[in-house]
Amino acid sequence: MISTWTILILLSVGLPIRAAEPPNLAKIGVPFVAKYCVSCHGEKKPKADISLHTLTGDLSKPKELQVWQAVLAQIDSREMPPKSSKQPTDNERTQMLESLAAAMKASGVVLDDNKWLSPVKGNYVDHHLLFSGVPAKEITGTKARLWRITGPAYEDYIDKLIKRFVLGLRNYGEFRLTAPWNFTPQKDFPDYASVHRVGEAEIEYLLRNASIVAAAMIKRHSGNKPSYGGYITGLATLIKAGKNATPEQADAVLAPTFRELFGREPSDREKERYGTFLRKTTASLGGADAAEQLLIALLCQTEMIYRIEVPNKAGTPQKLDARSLSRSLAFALTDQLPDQLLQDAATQGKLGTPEEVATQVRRILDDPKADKPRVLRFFREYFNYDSAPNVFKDEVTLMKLGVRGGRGWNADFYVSDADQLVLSVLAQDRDVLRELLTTTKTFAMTIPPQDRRGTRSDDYRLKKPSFEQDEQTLIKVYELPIKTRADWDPKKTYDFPEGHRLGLLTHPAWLVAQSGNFDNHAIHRGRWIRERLLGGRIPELPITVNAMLPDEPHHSLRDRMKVTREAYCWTCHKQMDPLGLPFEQFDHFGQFRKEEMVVDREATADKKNLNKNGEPKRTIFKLVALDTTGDISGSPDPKLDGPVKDPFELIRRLAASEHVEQVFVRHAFRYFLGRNETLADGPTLIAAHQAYRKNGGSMKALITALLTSDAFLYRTTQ
Amino acid sequence: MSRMDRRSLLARSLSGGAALVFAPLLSKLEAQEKGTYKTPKRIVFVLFGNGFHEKGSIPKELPAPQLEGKKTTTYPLEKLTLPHDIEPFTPWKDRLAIVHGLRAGSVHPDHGAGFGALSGMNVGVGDDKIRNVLGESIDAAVARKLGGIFPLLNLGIDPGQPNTKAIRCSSAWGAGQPLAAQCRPELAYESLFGGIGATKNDFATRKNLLDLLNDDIKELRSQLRGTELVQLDYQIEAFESLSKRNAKLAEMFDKGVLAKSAPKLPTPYPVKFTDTVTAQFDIATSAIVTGLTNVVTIATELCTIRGNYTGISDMGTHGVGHNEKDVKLGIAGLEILPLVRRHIAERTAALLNRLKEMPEDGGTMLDNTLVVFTSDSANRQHTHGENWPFVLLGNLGGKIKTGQLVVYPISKDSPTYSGTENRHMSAAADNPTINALYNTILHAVGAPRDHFNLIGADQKNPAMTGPLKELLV
Repeated sequence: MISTWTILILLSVGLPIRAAEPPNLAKIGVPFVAKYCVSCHGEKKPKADISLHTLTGDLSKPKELQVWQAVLAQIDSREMPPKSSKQPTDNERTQMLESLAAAMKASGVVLDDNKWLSPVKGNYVDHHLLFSGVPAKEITGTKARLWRITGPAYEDYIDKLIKRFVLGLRNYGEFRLTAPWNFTPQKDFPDYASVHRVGEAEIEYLLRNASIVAAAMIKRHSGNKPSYGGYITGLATLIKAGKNATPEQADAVLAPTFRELFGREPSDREKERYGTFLRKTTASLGGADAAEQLLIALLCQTEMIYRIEVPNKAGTPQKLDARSLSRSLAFALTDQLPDQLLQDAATQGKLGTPEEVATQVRRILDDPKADKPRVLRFFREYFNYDSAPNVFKDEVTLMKLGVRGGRGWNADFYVSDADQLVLSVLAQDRDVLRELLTTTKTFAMTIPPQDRRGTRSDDYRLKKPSFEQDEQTLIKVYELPIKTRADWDPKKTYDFPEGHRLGLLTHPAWLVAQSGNFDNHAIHRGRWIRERLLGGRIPELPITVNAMLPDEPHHSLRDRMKVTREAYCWTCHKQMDPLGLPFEQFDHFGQFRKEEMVVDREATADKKNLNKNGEPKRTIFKLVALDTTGDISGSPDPKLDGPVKDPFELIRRLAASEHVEQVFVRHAFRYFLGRNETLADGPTLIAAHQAYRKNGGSMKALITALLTSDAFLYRTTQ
Repeated sequence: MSRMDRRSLLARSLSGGAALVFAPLLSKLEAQEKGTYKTPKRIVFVLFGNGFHEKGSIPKELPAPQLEGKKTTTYPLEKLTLPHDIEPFTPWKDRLAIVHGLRAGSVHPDHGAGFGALSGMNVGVGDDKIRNVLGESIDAAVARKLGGIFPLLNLGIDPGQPNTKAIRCSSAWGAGQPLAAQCRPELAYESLFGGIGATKNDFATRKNLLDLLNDDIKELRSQLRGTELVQLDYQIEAFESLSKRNAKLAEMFDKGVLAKSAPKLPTPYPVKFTDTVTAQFDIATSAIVTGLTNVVTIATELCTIRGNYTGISDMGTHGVGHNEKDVKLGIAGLEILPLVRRHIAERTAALLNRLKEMPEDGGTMLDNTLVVFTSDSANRQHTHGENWPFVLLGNLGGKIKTGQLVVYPISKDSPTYSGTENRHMSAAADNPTINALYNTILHAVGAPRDHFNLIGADQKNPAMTGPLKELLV
């Protein structure tokens, strides 16, 4: 099994690299290849021009190392042997992977064990087995873990504390006490419980924030009791006692401070640990400094950093205690601590059953006033359209669009519009995925005026009667009949021209996010569909592959991608390219088109276009016919397979598929549980999918099912 | 120079407002008196983005075609003129080695190599490069040997983004053990010099606090397994490292020198790219001069492409690398990049000047220092890593051959992207990779290895493993 790849090579210690035992690739790997691969990849007419019959298992040969890496990716992803061929047993596959991994280790190749915990590997759990309907034998739960809270959640806590105690700190702009950690931008779900680390830099920053808040707290409690805002009487007493503070005064501080900061009593262990600390520091430093140290400690303690999800005792899975559960529920949906009603439910023992938990989840989901950024964030990260502003578009390509200068393009607009579209579909909560995949509507320029370049006018339209360049571009890209600001309402949806768009995958936000600097990115688009809708697995890029398309602007993208159709590449690319190429229907700014623009080499090099130095004065383009055909193949649902004439046929077929819906549910599981699914989670996924379907494609029902599942409620040390 | 002279010099620097701390220097003096002192070696890695275009490092008298050839060639720098970008290094031409013709090997430096730049490892492409931490980086490997209260001071600059704090981008102790680059000078300053104005009680108090927090989190150990436990242990190690550092600073306090040598915190806090670069170099300089660290990495663009070179151009760094025109300045991106590199070179030169001012063992601190000056994006923004230019400054106590331009077999490269028209060069396919240079550095600091992060047959191929005989004395 994959988990056997515990082979991170720590060259850092500077020791010679030696495996504990000689790798037995020659004894296991080579016979495996001979048995299952060489019949197709042999000496005569080898498929994909890859011959494996000469492999010896000697990875010191560069060519052999390269080939074995490709073999590893294919065997591990179960792409090979193909389904039509004789299959190795699980044991044979495992042995093969182990021997190959050991040999790789001896060659200095690093295989990241933790990679299997990352979301991109989630699809490696067999879909059919997950949804096979085998009932759960016992409660499995999720491994005990610490899940770092989000940056916004940390900042919200600090901000509320500052306001509640009226600390007088300028918590905005450059003075804002920001979270000590950021997410690394990536195209997968970035907030997995297993991926975050808290190191020296984060701790120092945490200490710094805590010191600032603690100093302000001491100041607030040093004078007369204020007539408003939070106040901890015991703390004031200790501070004012100064060097004469007594152990009793120290003891009296602990419980009220815990209550004010965390809304709970200290545990016995905390009473002992923090009590000892406080008495000791009171004796050595006096009341004020001791109080400050206590506050710093509390503002840096584990609860400030993590969702602590550990069982009360080792052994069989244990239900999370009510307080931890209330925090996990709150952080699953919001960037805030539990609201008062959720806290009350926890303290009153009303989170004891899945039904009681469901009541709270539904309450929060149904409350229009409750801010639930985590729900929208799921769709942003699942569709990944929010990365559109990160895709740089240079001036030359902007000019091809007819846009001059940097003011003509603002990808934030498109992301904001897509956000609003998602929120409006969620508000309806009917057939959510299908609606998102097939809607023909969009919002337009929904970024609030005050968020644009510092403009703070409440009535932007009156003060700026004409559209700015980037707005004009957007109207052109969307093909909307908006001529003046009087025609425009950021709160309303507009119909795209008939037959030009179908759902988020044809929305410019998604198209741009899945594009390159100069072109569409058919491979990324295809990969997204393969993984996020079909639940497929794309083997890792072999390290020896130089993943670049030829720089031939006189050819269409489809033509330039001929390099991926070479036999060696096609094994993987056939899973992506035919799914992404139908989106050639649009240019890389997301504009609908009927022809493709390429460089006209002859006209550009024509004498008429050359300057006195013989260089072209300008690049001349020409239009060529557009090919939007594609193909779905190798999907788990045979009804999906077959050629498509354009992206719309592709999307309609996918949107109607129950399999696609199940894959969507798997992704929702990953996001809200913060980990990949395992076979043991099959019943949870089935229940979540059924809840979604029975409730007419309701996202609320899906989330409720996930947050009331054993996987969410139980933790185990096993 | 007598020890009194050195004390006087320190005092003079202090009165001049320089950010100096006496403690480690005085410790050195004390060790010298006891006969236990060994001259420390110091290495500074300077990584900048968007590529180190060949034009930026080839002496003016040697046009690129002249360097093309099938043999490794060295050229004395003595009578050559350094190009604009590295002209600030002219006073140290005799301690300068310019290297061309190294390959990226399995690293993908296109758009910045991420963790590949200093590890020489394939950490993937795209986002993976700033996420995959697959092995030890050279600065960490060197830091293991050279030690220090701050074994590896990792400073970053997020161009035009003054709110960025700590980012993991370039350095790692090993697989899964990244080090964060501190991107805010004032926070780096606090970490390094924050204890200077302290009292004895402050150190004791901070230690108690760190120990309390560590105890708090350790309590969870028994309830976690596997990856989750590794995650927790990472934090526990961080607490212990901070606690140890605090103890060392406390020792310095006990010697009575910290309190009287507190430098001023730089104010106002820098916001622009150029000012932040300056501040980070100043902090690095002070940290080296005071002996708080012997190894520094400064990543001016976090080993990727992001932000703006504010202070030089408000255009995005990406557009600059694409040679877009800055309308305000009226110049193109490839004219802006030399200004950026020159600014970084000037700050590097200022660092060298300071080290040259500091007497050490009959010479100066500069004598025992090496600066590795390169781009994490090899020779341009969109690159295959065909040629990875380096400038080495300082000879590390005579361990590095300097005063020369070393060119491994190289030819003209065919352009692949319009907009980046600068002439580029392509190393021969069997040229050594950056791993060989890194192993050369390890040899120079006295921590030789068979190879540095090579894979397969390259591990045993002397042409690939290094040390590079053209550079190692």
